Amino acid sequence: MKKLTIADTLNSPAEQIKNKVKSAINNSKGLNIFLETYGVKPSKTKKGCLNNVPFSLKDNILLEGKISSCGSRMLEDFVSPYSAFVVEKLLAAGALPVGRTNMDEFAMGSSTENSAFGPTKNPLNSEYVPGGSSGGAAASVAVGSCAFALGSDTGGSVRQPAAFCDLYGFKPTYGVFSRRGLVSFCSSFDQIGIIANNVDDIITVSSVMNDKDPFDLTSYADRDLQDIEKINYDNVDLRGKIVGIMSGFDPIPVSDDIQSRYLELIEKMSDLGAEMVNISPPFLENSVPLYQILSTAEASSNLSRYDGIKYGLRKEGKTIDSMRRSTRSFGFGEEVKRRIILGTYVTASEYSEQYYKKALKIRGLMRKNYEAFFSTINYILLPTTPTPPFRLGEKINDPVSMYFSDVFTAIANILGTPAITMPCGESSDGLPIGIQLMGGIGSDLDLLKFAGKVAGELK
Amino acid sequence: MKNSKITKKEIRRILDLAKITVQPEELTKLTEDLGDIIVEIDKIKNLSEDFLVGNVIFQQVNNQFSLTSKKMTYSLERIKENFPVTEGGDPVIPPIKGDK
Repeated sequence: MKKLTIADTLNSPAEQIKNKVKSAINNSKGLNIFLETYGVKPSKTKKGCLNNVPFSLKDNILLEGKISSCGSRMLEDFVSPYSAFVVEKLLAAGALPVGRTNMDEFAMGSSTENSAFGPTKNPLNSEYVPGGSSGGAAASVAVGSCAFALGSDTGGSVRQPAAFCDLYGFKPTYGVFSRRGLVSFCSSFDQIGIIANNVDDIITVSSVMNDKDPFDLTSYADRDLQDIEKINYDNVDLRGKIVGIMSGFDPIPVSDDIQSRYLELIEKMSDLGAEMVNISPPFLENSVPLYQILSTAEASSNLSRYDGIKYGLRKEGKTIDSMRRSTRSFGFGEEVKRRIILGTYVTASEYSEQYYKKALKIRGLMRKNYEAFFSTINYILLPTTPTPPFRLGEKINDPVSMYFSDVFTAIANILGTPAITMPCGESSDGLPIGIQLMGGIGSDLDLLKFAGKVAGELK
Repeated sequence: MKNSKITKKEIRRILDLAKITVQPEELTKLTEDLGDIIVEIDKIKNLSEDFLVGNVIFQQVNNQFSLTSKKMTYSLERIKENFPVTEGGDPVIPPIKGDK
């Protein structure tokens, strides 16, 4: 598999790129990566810094006139009435959408096995999952069908599949990318993220996509990120940077392979001059249950709009109520139903004080704690996942174990901080391993430059 | 069926609130799965208030070698740049795309 980068694309004739993309898509059909491909039509005129650079869209990010099904029967025929803000930005810069990629239904899952359109397989080993929920997005970059992919990251859904496919995956600070045109799952956690083959490409795409969107008041312009040009890594110094590390993960079970790669990276970063300090990230072990309470509560509210009346599927019924029930019962898959029910449970009047309101309180405390952390240290280094990729079907009947895949990633969504996963060697079985760097709120460019420098030194 | 933290009767009530109906075999699996998940989320429910208060105080990191202290702050200019456009003190609502 020949991977594509932005530099490759810009330095090659358009016809050559078109053929590469077509051949990568055709050769990977058995992996069920794309739900639809759009055909590559390179432009003859130069539009911007991403001229004719192919990219893929997760199936929950809107492209005007095209279907966005969110991997669900509920929206199987839903045609987007407008394009997402970030997609408009990319199109204006000349980027070419090649297709929409498979995902866990409504972004709920960690393996891309929960799609109504069948699972996606990992391009590195088709017996394994590509991660999720942006598994199709990561696989589309891994097979060389595009230079970068847009995914969404609510609890790790960009970083975990990027790690499982040996790629870089970036989730920015909440608000760096507008959420207009991203179908809502958990609005206070959702962020669009980027999967690519190197950090430079992530920086270029981020600088194009970032801006204040008048339709999303949580978005903001980061002038440092927008104005960035080619990074000269000679000017980026690891010395003087303080990186928080964990000397042990107890009580979180982490595979031996991942612990070994983590320790090796710590040693290398230390050799390069970074100051590594032991920390004990507060509430880390409680991040998954906290994430489950808050995300399902918001999901049950966000997904209440799928009632057969305005959007997507409608199943007939004798009354409005029976129509609504049959539409929702048929349209949603097992995992989505499970999360809607959990969200309804934790917000029900008799339980909301013990679960939802308490979780909100803890999130507030966590943010204060970590703000204090990041006033003293620059970054936190964590494994991206507790295990390397797992086999298809291995965890599908064990939701608690599946949710645990997010133990190191959900924290950045809870806090709204930026985080990037980087490839970091492989397990004894030859499976890819990713390690994650997390920075403080608003430190996106700084974090990306640091990660790029580390990645360059590791090559 | 193993002892669950939630009963089928309770699940039926929640399903009714969520406007979803399920088949009997689906209900059994749902009850088991949710029972397991509730055991996990109970970790949040069971955190004592003292624990929460104790953690408001920032846990000191082991950075005695550190010489610098860095805090991310936003300049007034940057905050103003991202403030909604206003007219006469009220935020301007942008026109909806496609509306004339």
